Amino acid sequence: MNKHLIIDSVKCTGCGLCELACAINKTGQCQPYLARIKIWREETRGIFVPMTCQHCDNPPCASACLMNVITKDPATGLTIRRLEGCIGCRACQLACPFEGCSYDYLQEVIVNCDHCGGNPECVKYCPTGALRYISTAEALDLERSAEAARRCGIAGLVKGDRR
Amino acid sequence: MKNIVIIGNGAAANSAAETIRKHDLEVPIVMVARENLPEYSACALPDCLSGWVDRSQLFIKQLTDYPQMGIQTRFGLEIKQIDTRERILISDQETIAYDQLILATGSRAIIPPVPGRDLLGNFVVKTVGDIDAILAYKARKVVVVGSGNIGIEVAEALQISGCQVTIVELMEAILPRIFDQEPAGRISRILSDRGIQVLTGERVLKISGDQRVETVTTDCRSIACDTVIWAAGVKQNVEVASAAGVKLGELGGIEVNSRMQTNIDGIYACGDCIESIDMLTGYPTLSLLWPNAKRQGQIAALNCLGQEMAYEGAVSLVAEDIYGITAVSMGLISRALAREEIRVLEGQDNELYWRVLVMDDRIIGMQTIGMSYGLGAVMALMKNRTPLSEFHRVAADPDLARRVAWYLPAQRFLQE
Repeated sequence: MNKHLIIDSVKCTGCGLCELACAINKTGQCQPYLARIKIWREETRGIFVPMTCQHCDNPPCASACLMNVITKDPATGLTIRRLEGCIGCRACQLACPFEGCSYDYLQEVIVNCDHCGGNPECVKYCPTGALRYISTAEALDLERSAEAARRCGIAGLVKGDRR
Repeated sequence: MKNIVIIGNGAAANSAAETIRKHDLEVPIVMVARENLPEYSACALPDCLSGWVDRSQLFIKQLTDYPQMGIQTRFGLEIKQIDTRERILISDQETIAYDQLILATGSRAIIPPVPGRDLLGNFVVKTVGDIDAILAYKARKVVVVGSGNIGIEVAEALQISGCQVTIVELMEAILPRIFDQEPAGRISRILSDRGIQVLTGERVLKISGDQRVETVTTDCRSIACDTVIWAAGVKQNVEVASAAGVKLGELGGIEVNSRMQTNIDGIYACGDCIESIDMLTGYPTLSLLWPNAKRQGQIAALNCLGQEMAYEGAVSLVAEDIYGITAVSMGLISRALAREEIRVLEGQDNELYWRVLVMDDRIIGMQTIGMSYGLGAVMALMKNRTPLSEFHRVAADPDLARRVAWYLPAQRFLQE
C-alpha cells in the first residue's frame, strides 16, 4: 500500500464532518450512521477517535466471512469486498476490533472504507488535520519525528507529533 | 514434481488450495470431492430456503475457477481407500497418486436411530442437494428436530416461506451449545412471537406415516406434520482416514498437532473432520465453524509447503439473524464452564441485552441479543486474554486510553 489514511485522535474535535462527507459521498444521504468512518465520542473526557477500516495485512474480517467476499487487492493493498455476494450476516463486524465494517442499511450489506479510490472525501473536509492521506514515506517520516521528539522530551513541538 | 492432493471441497479445502497457490505457483494441486459442485457456503443454506439468498448466490466459485487457478479437479469421485505406504488414493473409477495429502472431508448431518426415519419427508440441511430436495417437496407443516444454529435458521426460513413450524429440542433450552439459558429464553420468545412453536426438554420417539411422514411422536405429545427436518448434530467424515491408520482423538475427529499434521507422515487434516485445540481452554474441541475451518486450511497448506506455522486455536463466533435481530455468541458458554468459577456481567439497554462471562479476570465468553458497537473490541480483548483489571486501568487513564482507543467501545459491557 503506498498511501495511508492516518488518524491523529489528539487533533480530532468530534465535529463529525468526516462522517457526513463519507455518507453523502457514498450513499447520497446526509446520515452519519451510513458513514464508513465513525467517531467514538467520550465528551466527558474529551476523547474523540475516528475509527475506520485499517486495511490490515491479514484481516480478521476476511477469515470470518462466510461467503468469502472479502479479499486483499494485490495492487493497492486495500481490503475489498465483492458486495453482490454479501448476505449481511455481520460476522466480519464482530471479528473487526476497529469497527471498520459498517452496515449499509440501504443495500443491506456490510461495507468498509475504500479510500474513495485514492481521494478520500473525509480527509478533504477534516478541519483540524486529524485525518490525513499520505504516502508511506511521509507516514514513516512522521513516526520518526514523533519518536525523536518523545525521546528528546519536546513532545508537542515537532511537526506531526501524535503524543 | 511433487503434487498435493486435497480431499474435500468445503471451506477448509478451498482455503488450503488458495493458500498453496498464493505461495507456490507451480506445485500441482488436485482436489477430490464427492459432490460435483463448485465451492458453496454451507452457512447460507437456510437463507436460501427462505429465498433471502438466491441459489446461484450460494456458490463462492465457479467450476471454471479451478482450472484458472491451476487446480485439477476430480469432483463426483468418492475415495474408498487410502494406501499410505504407496501414497495413492483408491476409488472405484481411478487411483490418484499423492506426495502430500490434505484431508478436509468435513462432516455429515446425522439422523438418530428413530423408527420411521427413512419415510419420505425426512430431511437434513447440510448440502445444496438437501436444499433442492426440501424446496421440491413443498412442505406445509414442519417439525425441526434439534435447535442448534442450523435448526433455528431453518425453522425461521420455513416459517417465513409460509410453513407451520415446530421446534423440538432435547435439552431444556434452545441453542444449547451456543447460548446460556437466559439469552436462549429471549430468543425462544422472539420465535414464539412469530408463531413458531418451541418445545424443549422433549425427545422424539418415533415418526409414523404411510410412506410419507404424518406424525412425530415425542415423549409428551404427538404432532401432525408432513416434513421432519433433522438438525440434531453432525458426525465427522473420518472412516476412510481411520481405516488407513490415521489416529482419531477422543471426541471422534482426526487428531492433529498444532501444525495440522496427523500421525502419518505427509498427511495433513483440517476443517470439520479434525479435533482442534480451543483457544481459550486449551482442551480439544470439535469446532464446526466456517472461520475456524478456513484458518485451519491455511495452516495445513503452509505447513504442507514447508513453512512452519502453528494454529492459534479455535474460537467460536456465531452470529444469528433472528427475524432481523442479531444474536451473537463468542467464546464459551457457562454450560461448558460448569466446574469453573465464573463471574457473569449482565446488562440491558433498550433493545440490547448482553452477558459477559469472566474467568480468572479474563473474558471467556460473550453473548448479546441486538447489534451494537464494541463487540469486535470485546472479541479482541478475549482473544488477547487481556486481564479485565488491566483493561479498566488503561481505559480510566485518558492518555493511555487514547493510545488503545479502539478498545473503548467495549467499556459499556465490562462495567461491574
